[in-house]
Amino acid sequence: MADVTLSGDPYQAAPKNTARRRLSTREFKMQGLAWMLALPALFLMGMLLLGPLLAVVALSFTDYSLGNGSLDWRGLDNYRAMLGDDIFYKSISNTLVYVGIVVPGSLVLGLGAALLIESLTRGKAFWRAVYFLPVMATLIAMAIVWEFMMSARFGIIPQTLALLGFPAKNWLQETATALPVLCIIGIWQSLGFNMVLFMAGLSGIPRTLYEALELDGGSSAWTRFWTITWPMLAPVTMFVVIITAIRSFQVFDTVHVLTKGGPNNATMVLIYQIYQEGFDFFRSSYAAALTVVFLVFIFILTVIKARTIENKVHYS
Amino acid sequence: MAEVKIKNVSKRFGDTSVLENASLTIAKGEFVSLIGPSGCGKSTLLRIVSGLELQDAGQIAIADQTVDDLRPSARNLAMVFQSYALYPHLNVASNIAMPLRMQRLNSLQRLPVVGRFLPGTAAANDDIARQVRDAAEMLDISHLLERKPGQLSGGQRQRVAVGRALVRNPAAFLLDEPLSNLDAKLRVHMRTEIAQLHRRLQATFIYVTHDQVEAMTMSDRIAVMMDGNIIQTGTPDEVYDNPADIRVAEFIGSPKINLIPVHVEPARGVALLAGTDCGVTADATAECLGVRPEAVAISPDNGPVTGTVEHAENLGSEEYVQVRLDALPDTLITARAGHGTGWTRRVGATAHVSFDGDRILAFDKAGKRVTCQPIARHLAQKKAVANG
Repeated sequence: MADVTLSGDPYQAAPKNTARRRLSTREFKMQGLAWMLALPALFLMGMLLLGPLLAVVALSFTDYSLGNGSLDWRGLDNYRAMLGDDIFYKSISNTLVYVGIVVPGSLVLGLGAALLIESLTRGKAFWRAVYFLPVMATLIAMAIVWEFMMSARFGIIPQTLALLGFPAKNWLQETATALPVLCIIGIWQSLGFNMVLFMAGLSGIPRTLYEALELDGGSSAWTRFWTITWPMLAPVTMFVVIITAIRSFQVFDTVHVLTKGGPNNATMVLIYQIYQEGFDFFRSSYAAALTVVFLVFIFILTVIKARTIENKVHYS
Repeated sequence: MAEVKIKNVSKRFGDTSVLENASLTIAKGEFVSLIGPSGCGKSTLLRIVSGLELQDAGQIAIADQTVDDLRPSARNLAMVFQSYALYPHLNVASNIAMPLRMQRLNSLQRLPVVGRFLPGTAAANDDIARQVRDAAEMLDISHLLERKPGQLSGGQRQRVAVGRALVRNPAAFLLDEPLSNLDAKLRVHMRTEIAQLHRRLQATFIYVTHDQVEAMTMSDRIAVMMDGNIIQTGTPDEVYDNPADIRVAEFIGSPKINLIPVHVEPARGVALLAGTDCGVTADATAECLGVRPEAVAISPDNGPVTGTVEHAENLGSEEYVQVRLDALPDTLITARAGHGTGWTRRVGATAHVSFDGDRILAFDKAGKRVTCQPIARHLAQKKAVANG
């Protein structure tokens, strides 16, 4: 009934139509303007972010090598070669082992350091600075320091271990221990950063929660940690895991300075292999294919981060 | 439920003394409000009772047991915090269950997956779940049990906090300004609910508030605190009608009590308001009369003191009229007029003010109460003494 009356009334229908038409042209103009304004940013994004990425992907399907004037399309040849490349498997597994040790190691120690420093009444700033030093120092320079510390003849670590009855040798030059030593250096380096993140997270936990728990009957440090601290730190922990994982995947400096991937490829990691293929052997296309594999790992981590951090671990 | 005894408690934070020798006994099942302006030490006193804060001197006893050496968790008290302090990562059911879990399960049984398979856990968990459901039903929050605190409104959070307190059987409930984060309408509603809850549970309640309406409407007794001291305890009526101190008189009652400077004539003992007889005799040291707005009568033509209507607040059921006295231009008197006295709303109208002599209070220079009574009764007494 109402419809009939409305559409039957010419005075009502007419202004309604023009209003709609006017609105749509205005909307069109607005949208056009919006795109115009976004164009410079989009252009730069394409040139600087997406362009190089696509170039790398494209390069991985060719036989280009650094310095060559021409290149040929080779399809999946590089990826096929990768499947038969023992060093590639070695570098993948080494990288995963490195990530698998450095992430939990620096997480647990970083959290421990944060809890201990937070519980201090005096000297908080001092200890925070001490633990944060490795983060601020350039890793290349610090790697050289580690090289001296690990030196078999006068390094403090082998010499100390020798006092305890271990053979005095450079553990970085042993196939079995080189990667674990690099992991320790990795943990040493990222611990301070994680600690600072955890300290920020700890200061965000309201004190009244601990008081409420105390009155609810939970008085041990263990109960306080498991009932409040750990769950309340979940967002920070998730962030720390992802950030540390991404940084550990990119491990390069220490390998380059200390071991060059050796001995016997024991410390060959993905980025170092990419570097070697690209800049030592000039096989740019193969390095590009390795880079694509590396980017896939980073992409997966980023997706996990986006999904979980933004959806799951927030409480309110 | 138990009696809570606060004995000579003192507390300092650095150089500031927050509590000085405060003593108070809260009987078993009694609802006592600690009330006072902010910074008077009422929250500190509550936290000392709970054990979250340690006193510098004095004792706290619960059910005749000194608890000064006990941790808060061992004192068996339930507390509702001003911020509610709900565990944000746990849903409503788990929040309410927390005190029971802490009481009934050991730390191994509380472990996430493993705990479930330990002997006794399942039975205890069932029992806890049943008690949580009962508590939720009592507070009308059964439909919220699965939600996280972040998804609740202020009033609902408040109920969950109360639920977490009442799910077990504590020696006493401690409430630290629990209604101050709610909007005005909800506050009135929750006031009634908490009072009803107290009647139903018959439990000992210690309630901290700065809102005298909350204290007046809910408590069996009120303890008024100022500057770290408990200056008066009594039923709401006693504190309202018989304040021991000018500060109490001013703090309790809304609108505020009228304070009128007077001079006592030495010969007859009559209090004079700028030379006018107020109708009462008072102690010679009296410097000031206190009259509640409802004990002030105003009329257009009849009364000993005159003034001018300066402002009128119409609340519908009643009206508060502010009158500036002609004789004392610095004194503004608030009078409660009944509904529909139209003339008072004319700002600038002349008003004649009279006081209900039975309800006038007198205070000396230091603010202490001194004696005061209507002249008629004073004369009758004198006569009786002369005859007797």
